[in-house]
Amino acid sequence: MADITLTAANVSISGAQSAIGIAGETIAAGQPLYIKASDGRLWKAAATSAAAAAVVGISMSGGAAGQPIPYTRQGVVTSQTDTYGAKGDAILVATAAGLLHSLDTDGPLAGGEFMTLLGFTTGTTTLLLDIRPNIQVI
Amino acid sequence: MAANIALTAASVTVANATVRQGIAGEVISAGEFVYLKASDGKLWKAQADGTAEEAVVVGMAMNTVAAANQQITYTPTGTVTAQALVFTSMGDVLYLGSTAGRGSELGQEGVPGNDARFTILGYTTGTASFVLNILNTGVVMPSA
Repeated sequence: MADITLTAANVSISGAQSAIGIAGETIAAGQPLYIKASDGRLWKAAATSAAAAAVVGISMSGGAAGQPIPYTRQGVVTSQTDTYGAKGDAILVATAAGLLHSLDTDGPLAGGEFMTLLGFTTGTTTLLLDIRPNIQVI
Repeated sequence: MAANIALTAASVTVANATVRQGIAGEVISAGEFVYLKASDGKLWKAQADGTAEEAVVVGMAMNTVAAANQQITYTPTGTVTAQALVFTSMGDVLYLGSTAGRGSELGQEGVPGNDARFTILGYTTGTASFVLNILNTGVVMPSA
């Protein structure tokens, strides 16, 4: 199964406590983000490096580089129909920037990549955020 | 009727902003002017030819929401930069237009239409920038 893209227009988040950061690139609602040390801005997270996999939250709406983006690291993210295969899946940051990866459906990440847990599915359209520090896959 | 100006969302940046957050009542793009609807407490696109409430601008959207009920940032103040040549001259007064979320240039396009509410949004400082300085006058333009 391919990495998971949350459809921005279907993303809503309940129980969130938002923060605001400045986008370093174009960002859409429902994308995991990290803060790049060199510019202090929000960029789409990816499992390709420890820095890019250090997720600070999920975007709550979108914008272009230089615009303020609300994001949260807690809450329940609702998205489009059949986003996930089942409830109880562990959802990780994908190798592709800004996308999600189902551990149960897609299997583990490749060796050398960085595994960041975003949370667990509570249904086929809902994700309970529970973001944890990343660890490198051996 | 005066034409309304569409700011290109991807080009909008704001310096010296007072960033605030709210919940969008509809799809809103960066650069659109918003009001707070009392009945639901959400942000909606403002316009001059609707109700009195719809013309009370609380700020300009600083980012884009793809759907209602998403979190949005906005500011009541700041220096806004938009796409090149969006304005015709500097020093022109911007006021709320009759198209939801958009503004108009007073010097270029004349006064608001009949029965429209006159809400000043700020003034241009160049052909791609303006100072956001909102004044909700409450004045209704007279009928012809």
